Amino acid sequence: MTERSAECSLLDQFPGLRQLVESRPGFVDWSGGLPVVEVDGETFYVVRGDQLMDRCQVIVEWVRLYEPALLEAKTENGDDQEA
Amino acid sequence: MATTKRRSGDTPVIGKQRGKAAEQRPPDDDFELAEGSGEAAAEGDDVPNPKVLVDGELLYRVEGDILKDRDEFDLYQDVRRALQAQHEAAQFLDTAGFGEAQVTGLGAQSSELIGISDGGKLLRWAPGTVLSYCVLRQTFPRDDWYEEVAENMWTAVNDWAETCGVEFQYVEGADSSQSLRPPEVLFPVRHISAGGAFIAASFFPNDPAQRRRVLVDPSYHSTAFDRVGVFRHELGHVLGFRHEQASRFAPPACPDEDATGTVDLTGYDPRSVMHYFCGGAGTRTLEITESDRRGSQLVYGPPLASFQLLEA
Repeated sequence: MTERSAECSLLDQFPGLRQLVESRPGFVDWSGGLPVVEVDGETFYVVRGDQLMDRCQVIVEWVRLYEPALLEAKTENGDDQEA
Repeated sequence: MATTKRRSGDTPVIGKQRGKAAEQRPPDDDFELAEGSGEAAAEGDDVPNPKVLVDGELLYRVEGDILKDRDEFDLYQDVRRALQAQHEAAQFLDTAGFGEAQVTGLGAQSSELIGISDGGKLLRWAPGTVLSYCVLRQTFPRDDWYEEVAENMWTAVNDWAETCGVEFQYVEGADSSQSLRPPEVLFPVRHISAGGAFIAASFFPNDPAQRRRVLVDPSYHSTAFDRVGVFRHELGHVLGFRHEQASRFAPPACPDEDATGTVDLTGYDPRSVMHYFCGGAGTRTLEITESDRRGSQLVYGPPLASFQLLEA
């Protein structure tokens, strides 16, 4: 059974955030510069030389580095706020 | 000895514990609700930290998914402000050309290794876990490459076993497995052509189980880095240590690295085995330094070989 990364579970708690980040030019530029490798049918981005990250991990990494407030903008009942 | 060959390993258990429940405290009016958002921000904060009511307890969310009670939140804020001030001081010294800034972490020693936290607790393999591995011969296009990797891995796991209380086991009999995930080992070491995207890559203890593997690119066999050192570094990740340059005190030339969920086990060490080669820091030998030893022993204790171990 394939487990998901913790970052995928985290993004599940922020509906719409994945799409929002993927539409950010800054994210597109940043992630577009990362080498991509495929291992056992899974696609990974190579970050900082030896870290393999899935798409969720790359999104969360970018948010935490450049727009951390996006991960704070969520209310108690799970509703998204305007980011 | 904390490293063995050829025996089958016990079933490893992965250690991952959640932090204790926060103590119950009444809401505090030092914080104001942001209009229409249910969020609160402490005075002087740059980023608002939402507060949420859970079972009658007021908790403050930080870093996206970590809930802290009032005491924990106050401490978090204090540490964050102090670290920011230290970082700014270090940057000032660096840009002003005063040489290497000698700044230590809060209450920390003057060296550093960076661990991972989960729920406010350090992440590590459970005591007694045998980190068993094999080197998948069939994945290597050349016998001498397989042999080099097997020998260098063996040296690297012994280096860690002599550094802190971890136990590795080389299940050599699984090297000939035709499976990419032999069930008798915790992780396989395998060759993969990644086009030079990395020299080698590994995993963290909290990564999904199917990602427990050490991957070796052909560039490994011609790298200018010490090849045992490359495995010492990768095994550091396997033990739960992050890149040293995630430190706030790493040179600006080093790539940005998200430090969320990290714990500074010691102070910044530019020669750490876990330091990337950047900004004039890092080494090509990737040796385990004295500060790496102290930091890793904070997590795993002294080497198992330093004890007389008794069976129950």
